[in-house]
Amino acid sequence: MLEIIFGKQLSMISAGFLIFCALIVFFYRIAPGRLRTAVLCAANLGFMYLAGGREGMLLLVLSLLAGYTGCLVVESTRGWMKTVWFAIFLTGIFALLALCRYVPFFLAQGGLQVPVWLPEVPGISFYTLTIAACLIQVYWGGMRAERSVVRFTAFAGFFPTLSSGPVMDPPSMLRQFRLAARPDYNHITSGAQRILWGFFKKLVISERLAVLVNAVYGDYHTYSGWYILMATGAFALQLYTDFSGCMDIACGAGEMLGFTLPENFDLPFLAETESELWRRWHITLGEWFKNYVMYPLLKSPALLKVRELSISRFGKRKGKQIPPRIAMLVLWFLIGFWHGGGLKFIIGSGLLHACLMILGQLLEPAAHRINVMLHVTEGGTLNRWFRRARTFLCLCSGFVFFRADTFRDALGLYRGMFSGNRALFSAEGYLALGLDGKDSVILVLSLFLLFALERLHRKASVRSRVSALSLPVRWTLYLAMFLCVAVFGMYGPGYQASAFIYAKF
Amino acid sequence: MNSRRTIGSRSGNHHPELILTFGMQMSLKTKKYMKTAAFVLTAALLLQFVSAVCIDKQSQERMGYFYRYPEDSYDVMYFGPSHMLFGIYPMRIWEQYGITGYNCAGYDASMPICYWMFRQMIKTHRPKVAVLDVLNSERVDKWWDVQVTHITWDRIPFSRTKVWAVRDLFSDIAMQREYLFPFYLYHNRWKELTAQDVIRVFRPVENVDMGAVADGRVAPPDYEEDADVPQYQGTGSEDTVNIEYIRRFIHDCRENDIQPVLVFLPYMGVKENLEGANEIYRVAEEEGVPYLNMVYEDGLVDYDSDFSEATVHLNVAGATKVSDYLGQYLADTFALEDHRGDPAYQQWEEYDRRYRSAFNERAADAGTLVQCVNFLFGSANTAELEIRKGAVPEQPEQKLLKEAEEAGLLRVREVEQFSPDPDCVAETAEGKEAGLPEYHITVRDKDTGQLVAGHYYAE
Repeated sequence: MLEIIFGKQLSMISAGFLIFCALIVFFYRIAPGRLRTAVLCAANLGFMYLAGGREGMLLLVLSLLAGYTGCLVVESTRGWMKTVWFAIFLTGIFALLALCRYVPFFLAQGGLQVPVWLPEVPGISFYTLTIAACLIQVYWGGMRAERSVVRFTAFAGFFPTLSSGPVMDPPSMLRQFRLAARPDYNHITSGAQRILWGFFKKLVISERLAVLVNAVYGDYHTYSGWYILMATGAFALQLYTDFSGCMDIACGAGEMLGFTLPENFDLPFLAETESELWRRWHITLGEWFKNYVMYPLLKSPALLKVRELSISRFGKRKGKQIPPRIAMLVLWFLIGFWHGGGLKFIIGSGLLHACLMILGQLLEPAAHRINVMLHVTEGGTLNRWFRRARTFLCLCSGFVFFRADTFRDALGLYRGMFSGNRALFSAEGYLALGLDGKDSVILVLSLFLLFALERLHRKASVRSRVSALSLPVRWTLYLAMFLCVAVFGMYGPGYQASAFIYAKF
Repeated sequence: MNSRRTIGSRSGNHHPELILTFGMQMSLKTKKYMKTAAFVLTAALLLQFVSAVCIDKQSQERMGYFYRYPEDSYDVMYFGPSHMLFGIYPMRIWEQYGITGYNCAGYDASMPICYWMFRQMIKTHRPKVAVLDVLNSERVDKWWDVQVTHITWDRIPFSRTKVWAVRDLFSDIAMQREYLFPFYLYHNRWKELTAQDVIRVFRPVENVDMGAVADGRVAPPDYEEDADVPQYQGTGSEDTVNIEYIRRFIHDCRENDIQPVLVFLPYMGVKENLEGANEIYRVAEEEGVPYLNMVYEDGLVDYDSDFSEATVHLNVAGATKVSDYLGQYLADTFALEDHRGDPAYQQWEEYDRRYRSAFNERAADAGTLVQCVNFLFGSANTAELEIRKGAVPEQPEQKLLKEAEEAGLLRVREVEQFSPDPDCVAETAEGKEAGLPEYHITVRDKDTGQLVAGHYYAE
């Protein structure tokens, strides 16, 4: 019966996860102060066992032990030995990531068989970053090493974040886990509401968009031209609702346990520049790479030397801009590599965006001159929406690579965009994608609801507004949302609610 | 001094503010828990209602009424695949022998599926006799078309037995889930819902046939497929998984004081089917249970006219004969009491009235002559058929008309032209050009003479 409820692999988008979460919240709530951390620790390991099997749990334990031991050792040593131990433990932590994610990839690329004992572990890319951040912070002296292995496991392996993040910043987050405050009624209900919203985004919106996207990207020779353009835009929405839905579930589960997890999205489609976009999309990943890669790189002797040479060659104004741009290229190369070892990720999720950002910076003076010439009011509504549309197109340009099966397919998709195929605009041409009229209506209405609520949320929390309403109205809204997910959600036989896209990382 | 202690007070003195504060806190806390419980309960009830609306109603139509009848109200329960479903009419057996029964057979049901149906049904309704049609016992797989199994199983309530059944039959977790929680499968039906889906939640459709399915069509057999297998010539192989479940059925019957009977209904099957059926002679002898292999009962059915759609299932004429045959056997062998006229079984007289009424409706709605005639069998009606001079019915229909005549159900005469009958419905065969009708049939109640149906048919 447990396997029927939890499945062979526990997924966050399942009834099994809700039951698991409810049980953990219950035991966490009733446990006395000292035992609460132990409950969390057990929950984390239990979740990884259900989600990733024995291998997944073992890898998590190894990573946690490497991080925990590394922090203690690094903190207790001085001088060059401190650096040596730091390098050893950091390498060990990332070696586990490389073993599970990159070794199989490169073996497959080389036509070699991937050994069966190499497990596919969900979310390893995420908790590895959190554990590495702990070690780096201790090395820098930014925080004290956590003495309790139970508390370290409770924090670094926090189960809502194991699947797709958010990547946690140790100095601020660990404080919450040290307090381990008992969640109150408001935490639990508010968290539950957020989880429900996450399920709505994932099952009602994201999975419907996936039907359109999969049809086009699965056969782009047939579905070329406007199909590709539509599908790429749809994929941007699909990825957003999928990933942010997962974050809602993770943050909601964290909230039910009394923890406030960092946000990973801040209305990214309102971004007016590429730089702003990446401050609003997958925020915690950007922050991690900025804090632990970009800044150390900028302060590194190599880049300081480059800065000196650039200034002497190109002058102070232009010379100063070169090292940050080099650092940005390195940073985005690594971000692309983190998504996957393949060229499509390195380009589509990495270098392409770096180039667009650099281009944006270089062309900004020219753009300003054009605006002045055309009497365009910078900051005006029209101008802002133009910039948002432009930023959205830049985002989509990378998503073609992200979604395509291979780099070559991505190039084929780009070529196919200009085929002039307009069949999408006929009823038959649209319906051929597999989403019928009724499903399309639900999709449009739910997207409208999503954007309306996000717009409202900019001014004040929607959950707070709803809780201020009378009980019958509140309950009607909650129950309506619940039934929407239950009835209109794309799950069950015939549908394979795809595992969260980012859980593959 | 006040002996009543208050919170935080050691002296036992009253602290009204504390009492008031503590009381309010307790009240607030309790209020919150009660609100939460009320919300969860409301959500669960709403989900239950929505689930009932979304679920496909075929299962409710087939099995829903099974649970409405009082516990242990069936003398006999019939299990098996679709051959049993179409082949045995419990209400016919009631009419003829006063034996109560329910047809629990299922489309494409393997022996393991039948076994688990039996286990679930006897939890609430324990019959005196359980009859199992052993078709496909030679097959080695546990199931072959489980989509249609939903039609039988969805209505069965969630229980430990259902969990065991699902886990035994299906190794795939997703399939287990869809059988234990049908909403997981049917929530997609929101696109097909009509007002009827909601109405049927409150007013389920009654299955007046006690689970059976009455088919009025006639299809000629494909004699090229006729395998001439001598009686008792079995497969000669060891027990298949389906035979293992037949044995489990027999043992469980005995453990529950139920008499097991194995049958194989008339069927023009391939060699493997007939040899498989013959192999059950060995099993029956080993287990000491009766086995009726009706393939070798000469003259029991007419293979030309007693089957619908490619001689797979018995039609009304054939099922009536087989039901009479089986009913006689049950009455003679197991000394089952004849409950007709028994005040304790008055409710069954009412069921019979609805059953006959349904047959009348089917005759009135019959789209072809052969269907109309077929529904004479097992009904309380007779009919008069006028055939326009020169019209010649096709072979299977001719045989059926002759059977009905010989059974005293039909009077046939050839006419130059029909006597006008304003109550008759003019029918044309689907896909054919409307022309002059060639047949005029009038169906009336045998006892009262009341008109039941009247049709003109082009062919």
